[in-house]
Amino acid sequence: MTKALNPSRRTVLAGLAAGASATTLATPLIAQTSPVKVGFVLPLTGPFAEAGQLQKEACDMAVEDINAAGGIKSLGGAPIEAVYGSYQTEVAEANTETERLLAEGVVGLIGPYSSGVAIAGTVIAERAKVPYLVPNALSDEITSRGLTYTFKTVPHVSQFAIDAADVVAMLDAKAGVTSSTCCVIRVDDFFGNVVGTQFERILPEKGCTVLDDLAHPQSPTTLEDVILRVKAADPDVVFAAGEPAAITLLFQQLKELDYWPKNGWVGVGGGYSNSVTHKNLGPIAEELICINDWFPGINRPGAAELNARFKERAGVDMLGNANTTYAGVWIFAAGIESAASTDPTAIRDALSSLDLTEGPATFMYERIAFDPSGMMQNSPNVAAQIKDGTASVIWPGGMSSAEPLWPVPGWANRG
Amino acid sequence: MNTEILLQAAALGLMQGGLYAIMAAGLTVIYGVMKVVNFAHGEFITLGLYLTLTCASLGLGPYAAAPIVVAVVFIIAAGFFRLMILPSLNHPQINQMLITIGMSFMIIGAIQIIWGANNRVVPLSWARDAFELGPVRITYTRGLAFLTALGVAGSFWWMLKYTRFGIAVRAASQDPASARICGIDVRRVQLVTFGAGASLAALAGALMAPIFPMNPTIGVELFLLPSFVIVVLGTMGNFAGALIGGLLIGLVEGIGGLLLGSSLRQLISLSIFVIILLFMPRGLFGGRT
Repeated sequence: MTKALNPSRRTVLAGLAAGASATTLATPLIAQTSPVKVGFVLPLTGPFAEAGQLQKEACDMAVEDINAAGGIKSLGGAPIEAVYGSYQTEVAEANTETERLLAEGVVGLIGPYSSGVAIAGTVIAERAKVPYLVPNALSDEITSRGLTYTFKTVPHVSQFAIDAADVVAMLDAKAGVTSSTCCVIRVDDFFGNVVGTQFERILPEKGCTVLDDLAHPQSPTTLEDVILRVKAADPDVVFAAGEPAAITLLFQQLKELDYWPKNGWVGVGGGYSNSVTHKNLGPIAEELICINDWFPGINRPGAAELNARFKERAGVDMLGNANTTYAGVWIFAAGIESAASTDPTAIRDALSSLDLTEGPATFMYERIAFDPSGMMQNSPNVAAQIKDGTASVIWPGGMSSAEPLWPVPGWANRG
Repeated sequence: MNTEILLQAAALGLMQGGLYAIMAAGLTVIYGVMKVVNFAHGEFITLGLYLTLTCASLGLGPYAAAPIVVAVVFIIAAGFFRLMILPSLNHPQINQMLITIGMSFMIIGAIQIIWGANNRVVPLSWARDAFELGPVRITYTRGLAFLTALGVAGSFWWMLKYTRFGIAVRAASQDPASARICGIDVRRVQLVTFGAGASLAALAGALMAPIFPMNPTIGVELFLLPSFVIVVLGTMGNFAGALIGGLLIGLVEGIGGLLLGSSLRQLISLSIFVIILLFMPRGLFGGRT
């Protein structure tokens, strides 16, 4: 008894050594199964919250799916932990949140919604040597500045301008009409200015004269002045990009003023394909043509099932930005998996050399690989027309599921 | 730009001005009586929008819901006044400003929790139907909002001018101490005035509900600044000045937005704001200093 209560020095040292070695052995196991923190910078409140909340829903769903599928297997099944940073519209506000997430030790960042925020946030991430995956912001500039920790999975604005012109050319050819004049409507911020510049450059090259390029505030009290300017210009077609709240107001007021361009309206980007916008607009959104990188009706493996699961969860289709965000989280997880490390630089290197043709993210992309600038090599656009509240794919031909209506008649002549 | 389009822009600007007028009237009456600059005023507009949305989900149309919305916001505002503004009335004005900024955050947060952050719209089958007056096309909802706003604001002005309560309000506004000596319950007058000012904002919200998509920050982002501009333009505390200022700013923004572009429409009202502050610091109806 006495011996047991008063162990010899040798016994104590042996015990300590055994304990120490056990601790040393256990450390990697604990480290490997502890959650891998990934930061998300999203506009969860404010005028862009409609998009931000859908993105968050997609992030949560992706993280749950990844963790349910066994987490990061190369890290012993470590689960991903989403850490959110929220901003409204201001770049400075988003930067503060980005810095906070970095201070919390995230291994990478995913987001944001706006191009201006992405331009600034990716520089902060570059300085911190942490990879930043941009699954929504469209500006060409995001990946053209030589940043080595930035990855972008969505098409450039310039690509949207080219595709928008091609879609209208296809519709014109089918209907036997000509759309030689247009107006551009966009928000007066960094993204809107990029849209204005690219559309004004590319559309005339495609044979469409821009009669007026109209910018409006991020949060407008009214857009009647914009509509009256378009009415005065009398274009064949309107090309527009914007945010859900402004688009809702714009379309409500188009109907109120009984104005519709001669041939139709083409909206590009996440705002125009946001399912909450379509839901809010109801019948007013009918026959609107929107161009984005994915629609639930697209002929890709797993697309319909994924959309059904998302719709059950969020109450709306996986449109706007939700699809790209969901895919982005899986792509980032594939980077961590391939790196088998939580070191941000190792994850960056793994993302750079990623080349996937299968896996959950292929519901959107045929092949997932980045070029040296960090831009996804294969991120094409798709055009859809809203029919009975659903975005039906009309372009490119191989993916289309519905016949387009073109020219789209004015409000008084719709069924 | 043809005359038809200019007339349309002017008419739409005036319609917007009617809503501005009633928003600014609420703000100016609160300032006039208790010298409180209410930075939470925009949130009472937002509350009006969201309460109308809730009424709509219960099957009540936006116009039938308006009296209920106004009454609910009156009670909420009176509660805020009793708990947060009244205890600070004898403190420096900056305290009340900061308190109202705090109230603004509280209301936005509560709206986000209750109704969510997404944009919402009040469904109304005839919301986009319109009538035509010559070349001008105006929706019934806009016309109704304009007429109701002016009618209610006019009645409020008449009440302030000709009723016993109105006299009490003006007395409490001009000299609270003397009003108290004359037997006026100044605290009660202040409480009712704060509630009424917030209710005018809520009424603007209810009238706008079928017209504007709403989100929790719409009040502070879209309507607080124009309300302040109008209040200063029409002389702070001057009810009739707010009504005239509202119509004027609406008209100027409507035509200016068309001629200079949508992005510059607020530049026009802010330029007026600066010019008034520089050359007529008491506003259009305050006389020269």
